[in-house]
Amino acid sequence: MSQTIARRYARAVFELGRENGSLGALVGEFSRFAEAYAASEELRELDHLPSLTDATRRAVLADLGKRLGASEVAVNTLSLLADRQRLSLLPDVAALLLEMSDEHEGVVRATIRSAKQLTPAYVNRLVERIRATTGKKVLITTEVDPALIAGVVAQIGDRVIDGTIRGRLDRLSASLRQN
Amino acid sequence: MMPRRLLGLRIALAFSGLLVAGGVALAQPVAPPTARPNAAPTARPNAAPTARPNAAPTSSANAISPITGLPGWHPPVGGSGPAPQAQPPMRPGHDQKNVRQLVEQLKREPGGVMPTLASPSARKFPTDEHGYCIGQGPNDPPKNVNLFHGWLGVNNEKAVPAPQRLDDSSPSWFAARFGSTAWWKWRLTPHPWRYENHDDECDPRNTPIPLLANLINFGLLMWLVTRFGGKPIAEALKKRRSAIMSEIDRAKEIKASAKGRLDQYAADLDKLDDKQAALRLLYAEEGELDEKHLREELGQARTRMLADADFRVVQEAKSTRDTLSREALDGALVAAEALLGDSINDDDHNRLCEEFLNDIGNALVKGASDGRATGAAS
Repeated sequence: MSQTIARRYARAVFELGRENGSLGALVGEFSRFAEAYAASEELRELDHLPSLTDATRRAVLADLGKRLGASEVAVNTLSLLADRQRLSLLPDVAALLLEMSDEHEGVVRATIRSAKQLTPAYVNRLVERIRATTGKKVLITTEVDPALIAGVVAQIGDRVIDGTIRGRLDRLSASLRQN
Repeated sequence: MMPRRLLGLRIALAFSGLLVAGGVALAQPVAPPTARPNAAPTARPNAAPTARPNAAPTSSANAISPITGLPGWHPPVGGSGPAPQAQPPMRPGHDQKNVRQLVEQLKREPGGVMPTLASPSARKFPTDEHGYCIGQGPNDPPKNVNLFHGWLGVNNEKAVPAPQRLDDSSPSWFAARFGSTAWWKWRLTPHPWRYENHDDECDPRNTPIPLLANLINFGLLMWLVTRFGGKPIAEALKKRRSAIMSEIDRAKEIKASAKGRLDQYAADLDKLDDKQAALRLLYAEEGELDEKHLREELGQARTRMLADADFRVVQEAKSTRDTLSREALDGALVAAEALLGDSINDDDHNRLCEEFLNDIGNALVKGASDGRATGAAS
């Protein structure tokens, strides 16, 4: 339910950004807002404090937007969310807005985790292989996780492709447990 | 209803008339057989030791009876036996004439002041040595019945005093025995006011409440009762009678029921031994039946418990087997992980990376065609 509502807000912001040509900036602003919201407990409680008036909430969000260098569209959207006590949707709105923006820009984001540091040549080859398969621009992020023992796991959108020893052991364990 | 009420009213009026007639007849003082007032005083055998100033004169005809202790003209008092010693001495001269003499004597006394009509309480009238008012002792004749004097009320100012009854100046035969003409005229005239000294009951001029007024009041009361209270009282009595009758019927029913129960209880008591034996037999049979049922239930419970125990044993064995398998699997995985972690080198890692690079295209295509969110390189 909350995902559906968040999608409406994200869709509205996406359309505004696309019309104004500031979609990338809006996505960044909302991402920063979402990070601030996740990091600040006081900001999360902004919705639930009955002693705060709507004007006070708007003032707090305007001050926050000013410090983060947000545009008027972003601040107004946050004020609207605060008036309707929907600030808890902010992370979802930011994520959905990023997803819509990527879809609109033809970008696919991939997170590559490996047991050991990958060479740049291997990363380039991997990016080229994903771009050739999906036909989209690839934005890649790499991470090193020794718990994987050996191999590489990639998360591309909502898909996970696992080629690690840890993944194979997990699959073997699940198979044995099923039997 | 009406004739009955009228009949009662007539009976009440007739009774009232009889009372009036009887009262008038009895209230008239009986004249002494001889003229007493003018008789010379004589010493009486039981006279008081000191001569009283208002002692009534007595004549020879007033000789004291040795048996009754009363003068000859006095009506018998308290039956025919001799008078008890505790009785006050006889006062044979306490009639109206003696009262008049008392009044005259009070007027003549140097310090005595006879109260006037306007001031009846100026002085108290004396009493005799026993505390009785003069002329009102227990052995004195009763006063005249007042029929209608003062029918309007008490007014000492307007009350007409009674004239002298026995006129000594014209001693006719009738006046000497039944009263003077003036007295009879006063007696038969319904004077509206009467005299009453509230402060002194011994005042000889006190006139009692008129008997006729009492009778009229009584008759009026009876009329009011019969007129306004006859029907409700009769209905209430009828209701009360019906209620009492219903209560009696109910009591009879209760009595009959109680008698029936008593008979039943008596019959039950007679059959008590048989009932006891039958009950003992019945309880024994029921006990045997209960024992049988209990044995069957216990047998079923035993079978059920054995089956449960078998099932639990099987389940526990299965659970233990699963736990052991899981623990063995976890241990094997941990051991494999440790072994792989120790044995895998960079070449193995690079080889896996190359395999991943070769398979990722197929995995992305397969995941897209399957519409699944996850996939895995071989």
